[in-house]
Amino acid sequence: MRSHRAAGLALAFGLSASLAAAAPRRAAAGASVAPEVFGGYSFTQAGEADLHGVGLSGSYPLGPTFRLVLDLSGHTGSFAGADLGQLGVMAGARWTPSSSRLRPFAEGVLGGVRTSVEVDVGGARVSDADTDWGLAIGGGADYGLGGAWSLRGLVHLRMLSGEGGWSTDPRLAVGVSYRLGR
Amino acid sequence: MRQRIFWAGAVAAVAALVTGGCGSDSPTSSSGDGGVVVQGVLLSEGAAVGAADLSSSAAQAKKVTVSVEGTTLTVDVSANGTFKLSGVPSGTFTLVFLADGVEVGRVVVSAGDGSQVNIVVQVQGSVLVVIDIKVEGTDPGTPPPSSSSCGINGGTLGQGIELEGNVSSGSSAAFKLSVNGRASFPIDVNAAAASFRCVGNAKTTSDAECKAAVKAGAKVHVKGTLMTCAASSAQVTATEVKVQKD
Repeated sequence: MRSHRAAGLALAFGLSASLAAAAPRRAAAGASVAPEVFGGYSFTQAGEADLHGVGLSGSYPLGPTFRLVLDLSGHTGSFAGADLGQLGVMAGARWTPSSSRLRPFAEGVLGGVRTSVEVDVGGARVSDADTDWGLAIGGGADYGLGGAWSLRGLVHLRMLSGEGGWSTDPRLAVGVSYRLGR
Repeated sequence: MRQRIFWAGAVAAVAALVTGGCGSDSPTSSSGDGGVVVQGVLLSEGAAVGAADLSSSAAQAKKVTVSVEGTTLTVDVSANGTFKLSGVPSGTFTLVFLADGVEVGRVVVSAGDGSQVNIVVQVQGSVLVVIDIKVEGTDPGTPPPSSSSCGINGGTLGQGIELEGNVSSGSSAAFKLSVNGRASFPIDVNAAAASFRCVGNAKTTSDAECKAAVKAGAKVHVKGTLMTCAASSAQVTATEVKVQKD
């Protein structure tokens, strides 16, 4: 599994590299340079636990292809009889080389993830919370629905430092994005 | 052409995520069908009862590994504290916990084929504390966790237990208890989640004072669950500690 994960990392970085190759030499005419917000369902595999929740993000254009991104996520689930919750806050950059109706993008963000664990032991509640720092790389695509709305699919590979080592977990999100202004 | 390169890279990356990036470390041997699944959560040292929680990432800097004695099954605890072992041979087996390569504790578990063991543990310094353990879905034909070798007179693994004795060492969160007549060895009591009550001449005005009274020599009454029990060691997770004499 470790070698598979390393391969996954290498190929995820490959996504960024392929974006570089795919990027137009000049900014596409008519590319959206407006801020946008995203909201939708989000799934992550946190260690061995499957967690479900919400993903929110906002981006601000730095030009026709680059954007600053703030990514927020909240997930909950249970594992081994314990209730788990996870809040993630990350920020970074997104590269969207195309301005067509289907707009693939790649992004990299840095930040932290706070994981809380609660377990009921004989009627008493034991709680624990831990903040792990790291980064996420990945990409996705927006599909224009008309007007300012788009459908978005997103895949992140999160690498977090904690428990004396690094963990690599996938995160998937689907939802809609809305462009603010033109 | 550039678009084609992009999509080739994107598809490869997503495929890699799905096949290789999902999940954390898995056991080094294949899980196979059947056997026992062990799922666990490792709490950091600062884990607290109720909402008051001041733990931080610095509290758990050790790399913890869990393995099944006598097998090649081993797994690293993930960054968020979860771990899972699949295909563990049914019957009685021993989970061995290592922190930075140093053994911090063992937990003996009895579970039938197809059952799932949920365990919540904490490493306090160099000691493993079992916060909670449950065996679910044990086959009807499989005997319950055996206590035949349990060194506590009248103790049944996984069942409620009440003990009275003197604290031989430790503090309110975890201490060793020398019991009166029921065991020839000190019992490890995890009281991180317990309520405390000071009575008699140990009566105090605050919860903090009562917890402080749990020290070597204190006479206490412990109510909880017998989590592990062997011929010369046992662990109890307490739900209530009554301090009778400090």
